This record gives sequence, C-alpha cells and structure tokens, in this order.
Amino acid sequence: MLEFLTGRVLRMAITLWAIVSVVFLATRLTGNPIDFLMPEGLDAASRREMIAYWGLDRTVVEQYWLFWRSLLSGDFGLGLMERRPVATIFTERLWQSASLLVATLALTIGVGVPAGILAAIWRGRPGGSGVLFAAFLGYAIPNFVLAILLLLVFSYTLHWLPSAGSGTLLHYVMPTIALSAYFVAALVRYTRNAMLDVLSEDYMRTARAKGLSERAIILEHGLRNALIPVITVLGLQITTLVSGAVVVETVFAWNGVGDLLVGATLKRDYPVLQFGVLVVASAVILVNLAVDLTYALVDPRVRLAGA
Amino acid sequence: MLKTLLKTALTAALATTALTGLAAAQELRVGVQNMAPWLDPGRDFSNVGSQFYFNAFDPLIGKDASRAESVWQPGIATSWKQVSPTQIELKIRQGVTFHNGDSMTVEDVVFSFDRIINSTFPPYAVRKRDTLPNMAKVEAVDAETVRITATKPEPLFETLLNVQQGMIVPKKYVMGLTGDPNVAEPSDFEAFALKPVGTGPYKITEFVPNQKLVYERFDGFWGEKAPFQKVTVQRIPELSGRLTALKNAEVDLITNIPPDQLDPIASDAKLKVEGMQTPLFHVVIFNTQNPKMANPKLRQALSYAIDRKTLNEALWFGKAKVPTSHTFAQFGPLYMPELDTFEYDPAKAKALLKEAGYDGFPIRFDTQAAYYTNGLLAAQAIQEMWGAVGVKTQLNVTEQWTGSEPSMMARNWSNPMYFPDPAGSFGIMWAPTGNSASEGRFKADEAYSALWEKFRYSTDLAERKQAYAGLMQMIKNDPPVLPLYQPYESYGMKRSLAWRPLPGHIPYVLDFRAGRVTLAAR
Repeated sequence: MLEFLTGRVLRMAITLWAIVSVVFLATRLTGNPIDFLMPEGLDAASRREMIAYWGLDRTVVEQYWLFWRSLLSGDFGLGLMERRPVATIFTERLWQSASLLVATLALTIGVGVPAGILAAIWRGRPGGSGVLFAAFLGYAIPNFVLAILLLLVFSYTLHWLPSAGSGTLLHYVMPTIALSAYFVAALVRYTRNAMLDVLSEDYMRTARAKGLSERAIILEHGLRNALIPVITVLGLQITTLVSGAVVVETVFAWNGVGDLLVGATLKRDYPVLQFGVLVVASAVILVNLAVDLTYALVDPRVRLAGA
Repeated sequence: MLKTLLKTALTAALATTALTGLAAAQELRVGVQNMAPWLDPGRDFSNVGSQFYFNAFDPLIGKDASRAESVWQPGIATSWKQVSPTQIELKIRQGVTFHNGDSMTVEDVVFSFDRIINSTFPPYAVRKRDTLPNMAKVEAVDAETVRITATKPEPLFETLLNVQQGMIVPKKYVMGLTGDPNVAEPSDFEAFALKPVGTGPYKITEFVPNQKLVYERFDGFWGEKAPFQKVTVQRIPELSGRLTALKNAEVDLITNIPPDQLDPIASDAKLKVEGMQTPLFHVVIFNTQNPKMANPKLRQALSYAIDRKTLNEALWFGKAKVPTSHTFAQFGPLYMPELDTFEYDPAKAKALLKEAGYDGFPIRFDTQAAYYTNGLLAAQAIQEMWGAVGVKTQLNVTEQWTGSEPSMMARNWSNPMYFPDPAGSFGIMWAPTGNSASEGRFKADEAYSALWEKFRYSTDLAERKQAYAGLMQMIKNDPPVLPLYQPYESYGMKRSLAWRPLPGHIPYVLDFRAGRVTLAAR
C-alpha cells in the first residue's frame, strides 16, 4: 500500500509539473495580456510600463524560475486582471463550482445507477427500451443546447425558475440538470451493460438456486460486482464534468471556476491560469487515485501494487 | 402526494418572487455583460469600468449629462476661475462627506490629483500620460481653495477637471489601507481598487471583482439623494442569459444588446429598448509606415471605396451614425460635421488606385473574431467593397493586437471619446505623440505637429477650430484612419423603468443619480 502511494505521488508530481509547464509556455507564446486587458489607446511607453508592472518584462526563463520559486514558498502571486492573490480569487469561485459539482454528482448517481439497473432487469421490455431511449437523448444533446432549452422553457416562457446567478436553491435546478444529463445517460448505459454481464454469471444462478430473494440477488450479488466498471467510468466522468461546467457556468452566469479559467485564458491572465490549472489537474489526479483505492474496497481481489 | 408537494413548492417559490416584486421600487437590479476586475476611477480607462464610477464618485467640475455639448455645473468645486492661461483656482465645497464618514477637505482634492500627476505607480503614470499630461502641480491655497497649474496654456481646464480620472478619493482612507498610514504605497492603491470609497450619491457596499457590485444610497451625499435604496449589478456574460433574466423579471435593466437581437424585447409589452449612438468610432486604420502602404493615394482609394452607409444599413439597421469627419456632437462649438473629411466615391477610388500604380498585391486586413460588435462582418463587407474596385484583401482573423507590428497593413480598431473635445478622442489616438505614433504606424510631420500644438494649446476657440480643420485636411490627404460609424448601443429594460443612456457622458456610463432614473412601483 505504502509503495503504491509513493509511486502514485511521484507520478502525480511529474504530471503536474508537465501540465503547468505546458500551460506556462503555451499561454505566453500565444499572446500578451496587455492586448487583452488594455486594448485601446495605450501609447508605447505606457505599454512598457504596464508590462513591467505585471512583471512580464522579464525573460520567459526568468519568469518560469520565479514562478516555481514563489510557488514552492506558498506564494501564488496576484492576478493580472484582479489585483488580488490568485488563491483568494480561486477559492471564492471554488465553492460555487464545488457545490454545483456535488449536486450534479448526486443527481447523476441517484438517477443513473437505479435507471441502469432497471434497464438491465427490464431488458427487451418496453420499460427498458424507454430508459435506453431517454439515455440516448441525454447522451446526444450537448449541455449548452440543453441549458438554453431549459432557460427558454422554465425561465423565459414559464417564469418558474431563476436563470442567472447562484443565490438560492432554485438557482441550482437548471444548471444541475443541464450538467447531469450527459453523465446520467452515460451511467445508465454503463450500469446496464455491467449489470447484464453480471446477471449472466454462474454465481447469480447459484444465488437464485440458494433461494435468495430477487432483490437480494440484484443488490448484493449483482450491483456490487457491476460497480467496478461503473466506478471507473464515474472517475473519468468527473474530469469531463469539470470541462463541461465551463459552458454551463457561462450560460447560467454561474461565477464558478470554469468561467474564471476561460476568462483567464482569453485575457492571458497567467497567474490565475497557472494556479487554476495546477488545482484542477491535482483534483483530477486525486480523483483517479481515489478511483483506484475504491476498487480495492469494492473488490478485495484487486491488489494495490507499486506503479 | 407528489402533486401536493410540487404544488406547495411552487406556491412557496411564487410567493418569494411576489415579495421581491413589492420591494422592487426600492431596488434596481441590473444585468451587465462585463463586471470590472477592480474599481478606481483614477487609473481606469476601460469601457467596462466607466459604467460604474459616476454613481459613487464626483469630479471637481460637474456637467449636465442630459445634453451632448458641455454645460458645466458645480461639483466638488462650487466655483472656479482661470487666473492665467496656465492656472485655475477652484473653491472647494464644504461639508462634503466620504462614504466612510471622513469629511472631505482640500487635502483630499490635492491627493486625488497628485497620485496621478506625480505618480510612480505605473497604472497612474499611464493615465497622466494619456489624460492629464499638461497638469504640472496641484496645491491647496487655503482651506477652501485649490490651485492647479498647467505646463502649457490650457484651454481645457473645465473639461479635464470633469473627467472620471479626476474624481475625488479620500487621502487618509487610501493611505491607511496597508503599511504605513502616512505614506501612499502602491499596495494602498491596489487595496483601494477593491474597497473603493467616494463622495457620490451611492456607496459601494459590496464588490466582488468580475462578478457583482452593490450600491446603497449614501444619506450623507451633498447633493440630491439617490432614487434607489439599493442598486445591484450582476454580471451575466451571455446575451441569452441577460435576455432571459430580463424576461423572467430577475433584473430590471440589461446592457449590451446587439442590434439584431432587439426583437424579443421590443415585442414584449412589459419591456422596452432604449439606446444611443455612442460617442465612439469603430474605425479602419492603415499602417502608413509599412512601405507597401506608404503611398497616400492608395490609402485614399481604400478609404473612398468603403460604402459606410451600406454598412450601417446592413449591420446596424441604420441606427448607427456615419460621420463625415472625426468629430462628435459632444464637442459643442468644435463639432464640425461640415468638414467632409471622409466620403464614399468608388470611381475616385479606382482612379486613385491607377495613379498609385497599385499592382494587385493583397492587402492584409486584421480583425479580432468577436471583440467589436459586427467587427468581423464589417471586415468581410469591406473585403467585398475593396474587391469591387479591384483591390485584393486577405482577411487575417487573429486574437492578437497587431497595431504595433511593422507588417500590419490595415485593421479594425475603435476611437472612443475619453473626454468631450477632439483632443480627448482624435488626440488620444492621433496626436504627434499619441497612441498611433508611439506604436509606429503613424508619423506626424513638422507641419502636422505645429498645427497640433496650436489646436491643443491655443486658448482662442476660433484658432482651435481652424487648426482642427487643418488637421482634418491633412488626414484627408494622407489618411491613417477611416471612422466607419458610431455604433448604436442598446439597453433592454422593464417598461416601468424610466432610464436611458445620456449623451453628456462618456460611453457606457450607467447613471442612476437623482433625476436620471425612476422605477414605478408595481
């Protein structure tokens, strides 16, 4: 276990270094923040002065060295746009995104897994086809289209739900649905397939022969074994969820991390972007680690060997 | 059971909405496309920031915003007198209080200007250079009088003491924000921009950079009290989001509606559209210093070939304004539409191309994809119009600012009016030391520079007018710029809201002061 974790942490550090370095260089090669932050009417001398004020007059190598040096001493720097510590800017947004993410995950698992089980049990029956059809729709519709559709129906026309911001619980309804639809659909299909595989296993017949109730057979023997691929998929989906949130956050004026990072990319706000990518990448890597660990919990046969 | 539950939830939700509705006349809710990343009138030059300062800050000299031409009014200064061509003395209003409770003194006035004109803090130094380059010294004469001294004779004292950058901020508060409370450190200015304090009718009670701004009525305001107890400004970046929030009665007013999206608002009996031709030009610029573009006849031809009236009809439904010269109605006596600096004449264009010996080399036209409303469409139309007179155009869609690249040939840009004088729009961009010259795409010769000096610093109005006409003639003969149109800026709002953008402000100002806005209670 210890060996496994050390290997993972080492790999994680290398991955993070690579990701942040790529972002660091790529954003610097594709534009200068001054063109995006002060697009109009800045004379050449003022331009130089502002570039120096942001510390961007140093060579890229120097900036790179300074970035890692201050990062390792816990100083993440100030945003170029918002002159505040990037950690503050990010944290302010993080809980907004995190709360949406939790709601989305809850809806995804709460609806996706049971619907997947039902689709497996009802295989070949109209109910099963219905669930699959709904899942197909959810899978096919891009989240921004669904988001706009929801807005059109529930805010624009019916006036039932608030459309912009994140003030109340009602504000969560549409963004959560828009974000979950794809993942619910994916989960339904994966759960169904995994269940179907498991249902035809010998031990299921044995369980039936033992005289267990159908409910116990499905939940105890079926679901538990079907969960492994489902957890893998879920882990992968969480990372997709982060990128999916970007669009949905913009449509619903949700001041989250996605919106922040897109803004920072467009304006080349390097410090915000570097910190944001570092955090998001860490989160993704940690989720993957958590997935691996969960395997072991669900299936004792999985051994955690060193990387 | 489920039905009952749903019903209860819905009733509760509706009740909450109804309650908010009752309180609405006390509160104004605004949905904007962009929220500022920080708020300090002194260092800001942006279209986003300028929306928000006028409600919370006062300049020394006020202005009747309902009129395009400048009609000066007392502001923080109650009266003023130009004592010499380079000096003005102002009587400072007594009994003015800042939002934090400090009373305002001449010290604050001196500090507010000093932080810009004698600054080592780059964001202020930059503003001195573009807005207040002629201001040399600000001093307190006595407890009620401030004297401002310019380097060269200054015909624009009133205009310059009305600008947003000269709005008054509290010295003691700013200096006390970080570090030594007796020294104005850069970190004080950074901190102020997150917790701004002014003397205006609204105080800023909540500011979340790039997200949200809340104003509340400031009962200690020296003038007529603000009409709303509270104004909430929320960023809703997507147009569909803003339209929905307005339709759904989550906000009372929304900004930045493109001309082809007005229908959903105009067709709703509960809503309406207000708009104005903004004192800002979308322009085409030429790199006069690129050898390929050096011949003035070529640039004249390119200018004559653009049918701006058709652009206006097609892209702005005729609501924008096609200018005859680089001039705005806001210039008052210096508004000179009669100059006819820019015209459409394709026959002349063809003749000039021949004279210039244009051999069919492609002209690169740079444009951002989405920065200016209709910017890319206009660029495509211009490509066609140039094609019609035989010029090959290569559209270069890029996110980069190419204005300082020697290889730039032509591109789109904008020339806003930063203050109501040709010096505050044409001058910022095209003065001999202005933006374009410093970026190397425009070079003023001696005659131009001499004429510019006369225009900028003569204290004789007739002489200034004549000099500006001369400058425009030079621009016509050797064109570095073609103003396409003044865009039409539209706002959507509840029908019960009486508000509109005012011609006396710089572009995009959201003025919610007394007499400027009312919202009928429902």
